Amino acid sequence: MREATVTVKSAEGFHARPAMLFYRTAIQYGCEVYLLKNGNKYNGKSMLDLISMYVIQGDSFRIIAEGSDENEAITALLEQIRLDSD
Amino acid sequence: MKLSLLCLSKSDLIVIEGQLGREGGLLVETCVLNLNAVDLKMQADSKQEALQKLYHLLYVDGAITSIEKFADDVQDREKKGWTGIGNGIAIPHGKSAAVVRSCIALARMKKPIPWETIDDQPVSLIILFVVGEEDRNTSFIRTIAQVARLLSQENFRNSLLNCGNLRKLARLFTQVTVFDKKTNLQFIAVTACPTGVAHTYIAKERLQQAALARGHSIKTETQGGLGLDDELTMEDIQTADVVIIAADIEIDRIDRFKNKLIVRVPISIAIKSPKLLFEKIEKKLEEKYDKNAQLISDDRISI
Repeated sequence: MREATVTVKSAEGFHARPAMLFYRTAIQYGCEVYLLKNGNKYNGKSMLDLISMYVIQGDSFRIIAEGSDENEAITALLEQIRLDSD
Repeated sequence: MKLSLLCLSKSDLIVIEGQLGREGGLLVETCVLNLNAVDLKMQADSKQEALQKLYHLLYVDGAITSIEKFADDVQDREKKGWTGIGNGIAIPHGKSAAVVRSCIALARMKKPIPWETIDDQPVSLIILFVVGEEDRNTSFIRTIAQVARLLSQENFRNSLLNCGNLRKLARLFTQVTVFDKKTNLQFIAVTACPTGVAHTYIAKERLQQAALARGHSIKTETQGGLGLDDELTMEDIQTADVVIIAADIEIDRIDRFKNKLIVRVPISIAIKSPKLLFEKIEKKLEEKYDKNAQLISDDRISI
């Protein structure tokens, strides 16, 4: 299992576009991807789950990848978030 | 209206009755869905045509000041990434200075139209988020998150796809926080005490001062020994967001407040800690708005 914590710096928060980018990255991997925020679990491969997270500026969430390609998945997801927030 | 029971602790006794945003005055003004911008039988062959029709409705309603400007802003967003989220649903959105009043516009297509979607399926339901500059960050994310949470419920999706009546449709959305959440509330109050000499009138003074100090408006009816003063009119009642009943006795004609959001307190609270009372009401309303998942079906909240 691989895990990473993300803190959102953008004033726009983790809104529909980053959610879509996350989704499209996540579905390329076979491993399970899910997110944890405030004790709630969200499926990283479900658009509705991702959008319903309600992450605003300053909020943090955890990304968890579990499966054979978890290393690649977590790297790609973090990279994608980093690129998007540049 | 179901009347709820008292919820109390030793130091504090406040009851809120009624359903926020359901039948009461809050519903009409605060439904996030703009009922003038809903088309349940839209005929269009393309995404652009469908969106144009929604822009037109929004413009006629007055929610946007310029179709061109708003269309540009929605287009900008569409270029940045797909808004088709699967299951035949699209959630385009425009954050735009052309928006006067943030809201949601909705179109149900007579026949599905092509769209960029994650499951390559055409779109039969368009939920357009119309977002003003002041709502572009937190309040937009909150609203879209709440809508997404609803959409993940099959029941909600089915109701949305089949509901033929605007009022019912509005109800489906009452659990979504409105964008420009009202912070200045309109209160009405009734004060009464057993002897009706002093407390009734002191409570009125204290409530009035505290409400105004917090930016709310208030009108208070006194049911005291001198009879009934400043009687609340039907209009007062209709336009009020919250009714405060500060009384240690049963008040006259409580049935006037049917379907309103009622906060009941002993008169001593209105006299001793009116500021705290308003703070708690504000906080409870806020929580109730934000607690979208568990909705308003539980019509009793305790403070």
